[in-house]
Amino acid sequence: MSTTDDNTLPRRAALALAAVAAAACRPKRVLHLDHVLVKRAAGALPLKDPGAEAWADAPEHEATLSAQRVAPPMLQEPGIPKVRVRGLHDGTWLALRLEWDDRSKSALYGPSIFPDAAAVQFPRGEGAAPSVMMGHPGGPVRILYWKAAWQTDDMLTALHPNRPPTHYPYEVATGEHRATMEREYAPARFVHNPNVERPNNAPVLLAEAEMFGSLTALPDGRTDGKGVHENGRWRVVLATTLEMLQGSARPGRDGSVAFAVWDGAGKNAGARKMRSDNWARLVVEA
Amino acid sequence: MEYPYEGSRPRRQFAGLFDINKCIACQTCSLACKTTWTSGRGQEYMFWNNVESKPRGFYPLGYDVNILNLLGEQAWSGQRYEGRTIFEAVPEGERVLGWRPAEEDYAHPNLGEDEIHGSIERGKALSLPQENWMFYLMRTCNHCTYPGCLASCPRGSIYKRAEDGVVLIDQERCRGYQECVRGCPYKKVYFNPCTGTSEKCVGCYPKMEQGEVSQCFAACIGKVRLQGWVSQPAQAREDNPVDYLVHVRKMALPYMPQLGTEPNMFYVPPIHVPDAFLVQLFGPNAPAAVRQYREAKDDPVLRGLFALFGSTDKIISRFQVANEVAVAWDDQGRELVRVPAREPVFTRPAVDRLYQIRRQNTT
Ligand code: SF4
Ligand code: SF4
Repeated sequence: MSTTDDNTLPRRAALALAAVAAAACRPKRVLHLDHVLVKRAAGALPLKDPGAEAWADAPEHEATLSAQRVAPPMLQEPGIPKVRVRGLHDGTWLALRLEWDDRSKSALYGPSIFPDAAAVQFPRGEGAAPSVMMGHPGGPVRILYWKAAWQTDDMLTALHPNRPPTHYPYEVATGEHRATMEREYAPARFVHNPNVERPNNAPVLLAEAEMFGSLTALPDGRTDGKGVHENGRWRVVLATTLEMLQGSARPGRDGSVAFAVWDGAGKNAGARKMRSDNWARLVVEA
Repeated sequence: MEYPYEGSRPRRQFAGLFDINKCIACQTCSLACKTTWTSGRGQEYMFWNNVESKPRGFYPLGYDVNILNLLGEQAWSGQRYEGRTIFEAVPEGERVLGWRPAEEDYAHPNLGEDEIHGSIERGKALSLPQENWMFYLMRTCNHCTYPGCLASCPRGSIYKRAEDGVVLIDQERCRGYQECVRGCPYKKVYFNPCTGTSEKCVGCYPKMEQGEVSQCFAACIGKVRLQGWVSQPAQAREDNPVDYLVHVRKMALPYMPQLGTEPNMFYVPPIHVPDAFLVQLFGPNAPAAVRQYREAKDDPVLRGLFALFGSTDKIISRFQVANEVAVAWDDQGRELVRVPAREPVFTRPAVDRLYQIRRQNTT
């Protein structure tokens, strides 16, 4: 009987382990689709975890973006050219994870300082999709909007970490006095501007538009999500309920979806953005 | 002029008169505004009212030279401006000609304060390529008739009130794109990092609605300012103090009128500054305005009108000077104030015998 070292028990165990390890390290086969397929998730939706394992099971759609050069103010220098999209739903909530390469994380707001941001657009309701450029009068769209700055808690300290502590009288005032002072010193807060206050305190806003410049936040918009910047790329989850999309995304039905990304480092903001030229097909798994 | 919206003038337009020659740069106006409106988080760097030392002071840095440079050389033909405004010289893909300051451009609110040069101690001289003059320029939002800020907002979040011409940013609609910061050539819109919205001078409209002057006007200890209403040239009234100085005498001039926004703050130019600089800043009428100002002491109406500056906390609609007394009324016809057209001079002896003290001359 001949035995070789190769056949020793430890060697066989090592080989088996290596095979397991190789399987774990091998990138999961990503299915690339020409449309956005929102898979029905097996478990809970990872609304606040853009890196969750569940996303790896969803097929990916790569959307091409181009500079908004239809209406002024236009984006003068092209920004983020592509965004990779995956989708999950649980019958109640619909979540899309957008991923794009961006070496500079911009999460601050300031004079000439702009945050990175992303948006997903759906037609409102069923029927033919309206203009992909934020809808048209009578053809509204619903837009999920995420801004990196909405995840920065103390903006002033983030902007100026070494600034001395400052006393703001209105912040220590109470009751009616505080309301009066807030009106003078923080008017946007006083009127609940969505830049300051969003339902559920999520970094994602649900808004409606009927053309450029008409974006209006929906005060009762249910949203969730989160963005994480790691290894030179953003991964951002933008989520809302299917109900909020009013029929444009229904399990078992085809719909439409479009995207936009703003690169803060390139001073992208508002109309100065990279966006889809055409609607992409949206399929929500039954 | 090519403005992106149809012209629509307010029912009446609030306006300010500023006698630059009397300003002492005490910044009381700046602080009156600051404590009233911009003492909140994110508003630290905002000066809706600021006073800068011209020609080397700016807030933010280089705002005026930058826009003039972008606009390039343009032509006046006599009193008529024949050049392009920020609404015609629009680059492809933009709404108005503009630029946006960087954060560090706001780092020195009073850069170049009192800066001047001349001989310094013991005959040593510091020589700089600049002339031996300076003046203080007090600036608020101009509540322009054709606001660059309003034209540049793609969301229509900025509006001009029909009742008084005050230009406001709707704090609910603003989404903080900072297009208005780019579009205002006077850089009188500020972005608030803590609310993510842009903010600007509100003209103290709650006071205005009560017939009272704005905080920076009320607080001015130099009696530099007078707040009122400006009419269209064809409707100018001689008994309206603003109309009188702006339209009748053409002594109070808009700041950088060539930009095309039709600003509604009017300046009596400083008398000791080279004409070329004054013309660039205040247009071709500046040298004549200076000449009239030099002679104002011999002009009873001008003397009386200038004595009314800073004399009341109410908005003056009508004035009259007769028998060396200037009288002002509000728009209800109520008398607001009456002042001597020539301020009496009191000479106090250096030694006060009653109190047994010596007086110091502190000025
Ligand atoms: S001065 Fe600037 S902020 Fe004020 S109305 Fe004119 S353009 Fe707008
Ligand atoms: S308060 Fe009057 S005198 Fe003082 S800086 Fe302001 S404008 Fe000038």
